[in-house]
Amino acid sequence: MKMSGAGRQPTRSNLIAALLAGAWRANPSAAECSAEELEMVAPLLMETGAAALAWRRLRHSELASTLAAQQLHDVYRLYQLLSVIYEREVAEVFRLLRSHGVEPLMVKGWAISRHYAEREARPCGDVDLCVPEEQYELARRILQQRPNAAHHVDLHKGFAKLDDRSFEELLSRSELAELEGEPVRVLSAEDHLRVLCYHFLREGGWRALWLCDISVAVETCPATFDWDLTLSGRGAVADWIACSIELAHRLLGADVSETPASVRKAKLPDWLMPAVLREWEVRSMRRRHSTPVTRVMSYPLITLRGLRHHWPTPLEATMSTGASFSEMPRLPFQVRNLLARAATLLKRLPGALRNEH
Amino acid sequence: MGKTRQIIPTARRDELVIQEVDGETLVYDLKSYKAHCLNRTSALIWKHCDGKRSMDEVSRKIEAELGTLLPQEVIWLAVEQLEKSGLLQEAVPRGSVERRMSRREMARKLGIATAIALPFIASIEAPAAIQAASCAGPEEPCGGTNPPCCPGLICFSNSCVFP
Repeated sequence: MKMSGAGRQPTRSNLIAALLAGAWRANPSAAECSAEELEMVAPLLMETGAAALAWRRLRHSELASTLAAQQLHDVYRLYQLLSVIYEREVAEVFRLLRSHGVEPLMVKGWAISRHYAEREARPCGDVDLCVPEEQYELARRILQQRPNAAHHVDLHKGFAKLDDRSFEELLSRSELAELEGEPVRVLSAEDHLRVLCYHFLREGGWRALWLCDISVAVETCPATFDWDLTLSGRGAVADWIACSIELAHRLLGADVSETPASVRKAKLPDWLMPAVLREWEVRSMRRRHSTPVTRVMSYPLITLRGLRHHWPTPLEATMSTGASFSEMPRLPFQVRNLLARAATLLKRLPGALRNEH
Repeated sequence: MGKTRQIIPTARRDELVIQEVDGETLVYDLKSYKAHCLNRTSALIWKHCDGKRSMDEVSRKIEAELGTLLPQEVIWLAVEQLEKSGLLQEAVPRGSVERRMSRREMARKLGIATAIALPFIASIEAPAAIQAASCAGPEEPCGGTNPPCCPGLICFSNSCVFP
């Protein structure tokens, strides 16, 4: 994919897409871009965990010796080391929880990086584990026994935030994958692809890396992959998943030739791709987490300055209302989302303010 | 004791993560949270730092593996770099003339051909922008290998807080 040319000046998000296209594969083609374009986009790649993947496409290019490429190379080197620490800790966490009778299910992180041609190039920040709701408190207490751990465990009560299917159902289809001598329980390929798509969309699609994950999950589907299992479910779910895969195909060149016709024929609404590309630059969802409105009394200036990031993106607004990806204007969904969040905030605010003092 | 009989210090092996990638040896120090990248010459010398071998012995070992004789000044330079990077268990004995020579001076003295094999240890600096996961929000853990704090927050006492 050539980036620079006589046409329109590529945006930074378009450059990210072009640099990451196929970067997860065993022998990705050398990226073609200018040194200026690379310099422009390198900080964004580093900020969103995609630097090492981009380096895999630059290492054999003419740009490999540029300063920007060398920065990406350093991140690549660092991720090689951090992945060792991460994998040790994942195995330790599984051993620890199992020794107390808790069987967790891992999602994202290593559960998907293991399918990359070079898993070390896909960084894993925290360890996402799902446990049955009734074991959540026990698991939380057990995990407090590892205060010096390098990686934070993001413990989830079941799959409420990740899927509409029950923990028991997902557990019944789960698989064991060996890591550092410890069997790690992961979702079935069908369920994991579904969770990856849902998570990407629910977060407003702000990380290109998550779309790489979807691409990898699609390209490494086992021969027995049951697409009906992935696409079935309530309302708009099949539509959401199909659109995520189509996005991965259009933006990153994911190979969708093995997907069913219903996925290949998914029609992206006009607003979807620009909304995702915009988020790759703006990252409003991420910025919002850093400026919770509940901190307004203690940090009024910072909180008020961050208010602009609280306006919902078209994607998250659509997801929060459970609507399908139609061509209808997104403004009504955004207003509805904002009002719902404001109502929740007003309910929580007195308690939050009390806690602050 | 003559300098050729001088014993090379012992390499540190504990609390380190070591990976070999693309001909480089990458080392992550779990104590200092620092990462280093050793070129082949440095990595070879580091491998032979066992606290028992003399300079002569190390020199011969490396010659056998690299197929070229490394001047002892070069080995000292590597040992000195390893010490600076915290990759040795003990300090380098002081007082050797060669130890005061910089890498650049040595390259000049020994010529270009040798300069290619000069030991080199680079610190891998994580750019400020680097982020492995979603940034850490208020009161979430930070520091070490945890993700950095979200914009507007600072890392204080291993926890992200408002400044």
